[in-house]
Amino acid sequence: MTTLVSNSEDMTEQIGEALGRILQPGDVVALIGDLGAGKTCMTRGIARGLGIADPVTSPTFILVAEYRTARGFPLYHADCYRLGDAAVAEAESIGLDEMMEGSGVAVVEWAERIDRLLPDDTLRIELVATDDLERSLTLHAGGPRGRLMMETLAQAAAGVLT
Amino acid sequence: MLLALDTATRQSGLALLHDETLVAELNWTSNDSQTVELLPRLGQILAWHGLSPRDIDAVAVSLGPGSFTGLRVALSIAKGMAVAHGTPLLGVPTLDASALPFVSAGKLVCAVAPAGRGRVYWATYAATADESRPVTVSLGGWQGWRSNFQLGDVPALAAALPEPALLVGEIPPALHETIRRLLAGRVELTAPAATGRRAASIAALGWVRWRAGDFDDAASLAPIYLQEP
Repeated sequence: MTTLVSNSEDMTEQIGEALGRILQPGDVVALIGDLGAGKTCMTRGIARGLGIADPVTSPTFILVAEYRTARGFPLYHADCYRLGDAAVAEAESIGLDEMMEGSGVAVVEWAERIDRLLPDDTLRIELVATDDLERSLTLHAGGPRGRLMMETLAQAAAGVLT
Repeated sequence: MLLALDTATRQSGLALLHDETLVAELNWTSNDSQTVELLPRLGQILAWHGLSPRDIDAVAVSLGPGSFTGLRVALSIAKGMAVAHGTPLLGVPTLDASALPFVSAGKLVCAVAPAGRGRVYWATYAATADESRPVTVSLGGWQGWRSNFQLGDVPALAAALPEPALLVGEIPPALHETIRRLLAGRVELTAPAATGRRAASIAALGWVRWRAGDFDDAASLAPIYLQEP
């Protein structure tokens, strides 16, 4: 577990961009946090780090948006906020579990609602608003790939935070 | 001419059957984009034989259990053809197709397909009834008994196979080691690429039902979706 502190939306996006640059096909990033905690902002940065020029918006109503990265594989941006009581079954029925085992990168907002479907190698990022602008970003790594993502991000983010 | 479509898992396939002759068959492993792959490939195999969609008199489709998103790809195309051309539609359980070439060997057969997150779908087939095999099935000329379709991890599969069985179908490579360890002495993984599911088997099972006039209704035919309880 590692905690980073961002003091602006811009910095959250830059940390996301640093993460985007190190992601590989098959990686899963779970974003956990309340409305306004910076999940979509972080995803915008991840998309930029992956070389995606299209504007990234919250997929709250469409559930999953797919982008083509500069490196050829897809980025799946999912939002589980609108999934109901049977969130896990609904996520399976739209194929979200398969996207997380596929050949792209998956970034999942409100991922705690489908925690059971997340692969072992998931990087979980918990975003908490500590005041108006400041956010704490706590990284939890599962599996060897998750740990590598966490360590690499912590190093890369050190450059952003100084 | 009967067309068979299978996108139940990444192992995808197309076959054309005329009378009982396999005119053409294409089996491939999809790269997450069956919606993009299936129709152009169908157009190609038809073109290779100078055929058009109008030459298709019946459509057989792999019904699952399998990938939720994958199953809908072939089924929606099969239904579209059935509705547009009034073509008979024949849904074939995916694991029945995997078991078909092996059931007459006289051994217990266990057909498998990947279900993601370290899990598999499976069903067992044998010539004799057993409390674990409550369903009577007819595969080609073979009559026997099948278990219900199951979903679980390799330990669950091992628990369901107390006796030696022929393991066939699409066995995820990531699980080979666990299967060899937990099912040692009971199953052998013999040339998985040669015992995998083929579109020709979907076609063959569809053919039998077509000849018997046993069609499915395009409005109500649904995939076999399995979820963990």
